[in-house]
Amino acid sequence: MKRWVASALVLAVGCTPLDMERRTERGPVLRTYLQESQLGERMPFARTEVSWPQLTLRFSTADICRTEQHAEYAEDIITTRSVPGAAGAVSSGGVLTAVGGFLVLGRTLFSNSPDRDGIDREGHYGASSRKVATTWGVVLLSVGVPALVAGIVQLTRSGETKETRKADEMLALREVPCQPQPADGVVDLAGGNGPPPEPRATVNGTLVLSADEARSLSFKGLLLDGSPVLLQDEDLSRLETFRTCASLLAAPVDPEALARQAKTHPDRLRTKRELVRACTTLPGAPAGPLLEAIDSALALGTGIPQEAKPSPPATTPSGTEL
Amino acid sequence: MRYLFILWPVAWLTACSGPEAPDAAVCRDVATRLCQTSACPGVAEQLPLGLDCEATLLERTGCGAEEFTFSSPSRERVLDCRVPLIQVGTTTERPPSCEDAFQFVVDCPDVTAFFRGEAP
Repeated sequence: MKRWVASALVLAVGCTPLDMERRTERGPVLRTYLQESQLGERMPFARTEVSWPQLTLRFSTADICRTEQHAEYAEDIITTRSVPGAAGAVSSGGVLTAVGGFLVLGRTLFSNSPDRDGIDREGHYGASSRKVATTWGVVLLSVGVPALVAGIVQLTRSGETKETRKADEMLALREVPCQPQPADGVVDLAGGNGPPPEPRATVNGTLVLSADEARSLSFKGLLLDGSPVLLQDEDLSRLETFRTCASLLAAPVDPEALARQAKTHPDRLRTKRELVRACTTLPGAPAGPLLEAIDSALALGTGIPQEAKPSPPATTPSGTEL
Repeated sequence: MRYLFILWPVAWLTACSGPEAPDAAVCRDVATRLCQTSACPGVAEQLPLGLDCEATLLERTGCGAEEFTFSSPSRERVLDCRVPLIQVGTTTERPPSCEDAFQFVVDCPDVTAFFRGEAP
């Protein structure tokens, strides 16, 4: 009997489409953590030190250490199931079941005498009111009960379920050289105009360039035994500043020429002043006399003392290639 | 499967009928319908009827008595011939059409003779 009931329910509701909507909502952050790893690929690096009039390049090889910042948070997966028409099935099924049940249970209220007003083609009287009521009651129950059951089952199947799980998200990624070791080799000053300079060998992982050499050599990058050498931003900036200052500070200070330039091209002279001012960041660089001469020339040429409108030092001068 | 599920109540509904009517009731039903169409052309000639049509037919056939039973023609023959007369409805509230009554007279001369009071 239970098998028959289950089969009837399956037939009644088994093929009913179930609308399912799934959405994901982000919950609170549970924790944040750092994950560190090494790429296992050693690369050549160089650091710069200035002690005017010399630039020291210290070469090393280092691994790349990757630091990832992760956030672990709760994530809610909300599944909403709904069956369109379930409420209508319950409503109509309930009405049909109620009327059908009343007709069947209350059939004794109807007359059991046949309808003698008519005789059908087979010679039978019409059915009694009780028989008609019973028949209609059974018919309405046959339609109403499955609809009611189907609607109830569909309503129980519909609803909302929430599943919570952990999720992970990478917030930041940082890669820095780590575990450096001094490296020796042959350094190529590559990428400049004209014939490349002669390769130079490092001594104890260092290569020293004088201001004169930096001024005369043309190069854009460094190669250590053929591999490109990476410089961090501050080292790259220091190298460019050194090369610029090597040119600016090489010529003797000429107040008259500066005075003429202050009158003819004051903007160029102000740009030059910023470059000379950047040279003061290099230890030992004799930028003071030139800077004072430029300030004097500008004060005479424009009538405005330069200290009245200071500007930040240019650590990365334009027009200097590396 | 689904159609059987829907159709079986309908089949039960169509099979819903009362007990078998006695021969006297069937006979009186036919007599009533013939009297309702006694003025129709073709019917009046075959069934000469008096002023009280139903009383005349009941007297001729003897089906005024409750214990009446068909012998010749048989009950099945009368029911078959009655089919045109119930085209409009199974109750006698709506009379049959003259065409249906004439078809009855033409198709069933034996039953017509029975209602004339003659031996078929």
